Amino acid sequence: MLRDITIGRYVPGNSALHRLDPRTKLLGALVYSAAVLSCSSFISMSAAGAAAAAAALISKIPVSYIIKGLKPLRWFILFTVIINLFCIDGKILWHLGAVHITYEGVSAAALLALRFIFFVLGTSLLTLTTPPIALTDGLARLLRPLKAVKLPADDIAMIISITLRFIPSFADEAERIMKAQKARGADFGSGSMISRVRSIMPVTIPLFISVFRRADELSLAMDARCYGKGVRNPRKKFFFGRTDAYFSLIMIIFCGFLAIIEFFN
Amino acid sequence: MIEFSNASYSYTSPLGTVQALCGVNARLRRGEITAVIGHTGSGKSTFMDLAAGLAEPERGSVTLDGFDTASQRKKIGVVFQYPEYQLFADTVRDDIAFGPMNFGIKGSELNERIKYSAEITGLDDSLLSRSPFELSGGQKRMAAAAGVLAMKPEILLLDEPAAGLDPSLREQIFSIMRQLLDSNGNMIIAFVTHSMEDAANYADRLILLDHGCVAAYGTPGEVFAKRELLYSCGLDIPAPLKIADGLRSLGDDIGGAITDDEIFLSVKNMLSSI
Repeated sequence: MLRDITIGRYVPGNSALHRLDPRTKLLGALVYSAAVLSCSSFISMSAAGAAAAAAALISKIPVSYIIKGLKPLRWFILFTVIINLFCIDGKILWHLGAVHITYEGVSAAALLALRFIFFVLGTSLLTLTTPPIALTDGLARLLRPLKAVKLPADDIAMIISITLRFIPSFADEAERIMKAQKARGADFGSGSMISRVRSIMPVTIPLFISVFRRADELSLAMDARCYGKGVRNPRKKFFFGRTDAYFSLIMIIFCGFLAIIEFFN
Repeated sequence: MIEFSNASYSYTSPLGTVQALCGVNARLRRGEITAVIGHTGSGKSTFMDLAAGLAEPERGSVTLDGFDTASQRKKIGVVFQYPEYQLFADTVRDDIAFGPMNFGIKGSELNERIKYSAEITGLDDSLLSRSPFELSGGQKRMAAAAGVLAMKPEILLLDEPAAGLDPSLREQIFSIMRQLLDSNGNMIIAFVTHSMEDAANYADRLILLDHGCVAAYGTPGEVFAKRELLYSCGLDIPAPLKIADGLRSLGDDIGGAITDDEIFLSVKNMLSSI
């Protein structure tokens, strides 16, 4: 269900991944995402998968919880897999009339599915192991050079982290409202397309109202704590320690390894 | 009667599996108002979800007259915590009509039900054509409750119905429950509460939950007599009982008053006998 969404949730802990400097983790997630998106063979993809699995194990977050986070994406992944499966030409493996599945189609679909899965895993691991405030501060620090070109780096960082932070809250809220309307006999997910769209209205309207209410409360709370009335300094000093150095080294080796595989492919 | 027999339920949280209910045996009887009390995280809300048939137990069963509650959802009305957040329609009337219409009720029957539930919740006729978002907090709560009552449920479950309400509306919510039960002795009504006073004043029977298990079951008098158990579950005893205990420690034994009315009478008798 909706509440299984793990993007944006933080799980307190004290693993090596939790202790990393948020900047290292942010850059790591960015590099990892780029690497996963550029993997074009099963060998490099399995290397990326191994890296994600290793990071998940190090984080000490229950594997079942991380995997559950992928559940809401299953229809999306299935849809893209099916499109790819039937729409790519090449060596035909199976056909029924005009419909055919090709060898190229199967491998493209599988690669695409893996790419999505590892991409989401990488980014969820970032938010799962980093408190929202640390994420904001790290982002702000990384964006600081852009202040030279008058970019409001702090505000952008705040916007991004608030967005991430509220994904799970609104997923919870949506689920609560759906439950309440179901108890009043609402039926989601049956009937024609039009009646389905109409059936979702009793959920979207209260959800939007709740979004505005929360936004209002949040802005009030931020005003009350003098947000934007001076220079913001992170509460914790950033510290690029030995773990960060190791992590960066591993990331560099990982990228080099992937580049070599891709090169010889 | 709703019967829990050995019902267990758990859910996954980031810190592992949480056993919300472990082998619960309990009954919600017809013609009674049952209060479910317990500390935060004791499994009260899960208990209500199972009773309402919105979730099914992993082990054991939850049945209404012998049938799984999940198959009896039409008969069960649920007023969730802060039900005003589920209002969505253009007018209060349309919002109240949403539930009955989902169950195929139309025409004069529908109008009759809207009138009935507006009357019982004290919503003025003029309010019915207004947008639910223009109402005051208390009126919103009543409008949302009216939307559930319009389905004429045989079983009414309420999760913290009085949370955040002023004392008069609080009183009103509970007197509506009693009124419903008086007009139809076949109903099952249960509510979750954090307030020991509400449980003492308005319930016929209590279920005390602790860490997903039933720690005590009985009339308010029976359950609140177990002071140590309540304290160990992180709860308190109702204020009247504290007054009675205080008087006893001063040498005036007035018995075990639990409700507001009882303590009032006891103290009055004590004063007149001086």
